[in-house]
Amino acid sequence: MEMDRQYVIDHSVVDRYLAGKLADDELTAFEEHCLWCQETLDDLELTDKFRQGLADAATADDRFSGDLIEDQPRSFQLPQFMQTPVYAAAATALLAVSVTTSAVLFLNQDTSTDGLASMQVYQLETLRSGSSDPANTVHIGESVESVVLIVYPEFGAYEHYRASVLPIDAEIVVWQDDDISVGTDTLALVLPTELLQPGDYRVRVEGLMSSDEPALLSENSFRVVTSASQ
Amino acid sequence: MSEDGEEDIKAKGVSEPNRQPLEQETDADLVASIGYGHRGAEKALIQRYGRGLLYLLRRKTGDPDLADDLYQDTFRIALEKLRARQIEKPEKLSSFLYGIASNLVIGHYRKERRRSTDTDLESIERAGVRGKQFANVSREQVAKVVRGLLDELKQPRDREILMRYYIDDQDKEVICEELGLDSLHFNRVLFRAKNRFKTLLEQAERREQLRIIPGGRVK
Repeated sequence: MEMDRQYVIDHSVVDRYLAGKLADDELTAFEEHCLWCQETLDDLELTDKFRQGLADAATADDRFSGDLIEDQPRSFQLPQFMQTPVYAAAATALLAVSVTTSAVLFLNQDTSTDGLASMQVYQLETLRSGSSDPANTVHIGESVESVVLIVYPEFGAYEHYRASVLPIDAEIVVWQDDDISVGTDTLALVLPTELLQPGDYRVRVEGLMSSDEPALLSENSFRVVTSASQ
Repeated sequence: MSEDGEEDIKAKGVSEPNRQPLEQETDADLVASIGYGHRGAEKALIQRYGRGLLYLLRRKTGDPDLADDLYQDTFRIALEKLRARQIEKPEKLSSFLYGIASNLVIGHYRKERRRSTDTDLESIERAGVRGKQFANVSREQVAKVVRGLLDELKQPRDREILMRYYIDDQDKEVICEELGLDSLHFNRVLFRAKNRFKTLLEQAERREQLRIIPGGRVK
């Protein structure tokens, strides 16, 4: 039996194959067809993923809580071509809007400027030796919902990485992302402004191995200034 | 020696077929080119059939490592036979490869000893073989995408159609009869759902690509 793409479409062969419902001769013909037809392979892989996704979504599992809309990355790495500081600062605002505002906003490719106005981007300089003042100042306006802090840790051969924000003189973690994979040497951290009161903070990036103590890779300080505190 | 080893041509007193771009050659021409020792044609064979072969082997074995081994063996055996012009119907190249692969799978599960093959193509490269779609999107992400898609469905019956068809594996005719649908409506629900799923996966993959580090390693 010969099988072409049109036959596959007309007779719902992909669906029946994945459901195990093809007769022997159809099965052989279809699998031979799959060896060379990229379109059918694409269809097959997509449908297989869809079936698996439906099965997973249908199970009562807290991991799949359907929070697509609220799911926002807490930090991300910048692609290499964006790593020059000026480009990174300019481009990250757009990246930050497209990635860290709500998933619906991202998925719908919202081009309104509201997202940009609610977010500010800062590149953090390293601690200045001999100075007690933080090296950076972060101004949070009334309408700003998030700040994106760009840091440049030196990633090494660690299993994963952790970024933490703490007050400058206390070991109280205000914000943390402890599931950062190896990335470029540029990291963008997205902090909701509601977590940041006026004052001095530090951003710590650590390398983590399961058997060792965390290794400090970088530390940057910043002062939060709001309209009310000025 | 040229890049594709064109000088490695067996002189068998038969003229070489007219050469067109390898990706456009028919299976019969590709077989003939391999028989003439055209190394580029061997690579074209792998590019043409590699992705489909790997998918089928993984599906049949459920073991990615075993599938990789059988993938290598299938092409080794096929290339040996093709170089020796041991294929009866060159136009049935897909059947030829399928037969080799199927026999290898059966042989593995019968615990037959596979003959070691001696070939000067040390490892069958997968360079140029297109990889899986949406390989960067995790299973968890796929499930989240699907949940979002299901939430978007305005008609609860559409969700039921998808679940019955793809999870319960009910026949289309049964679903249509029990839910009072016509075939057109049924097809439309499936078509829209899969298209929307593809769009959402593409967006999820783009988002994941922001985490791609230099060198192509993926989170």
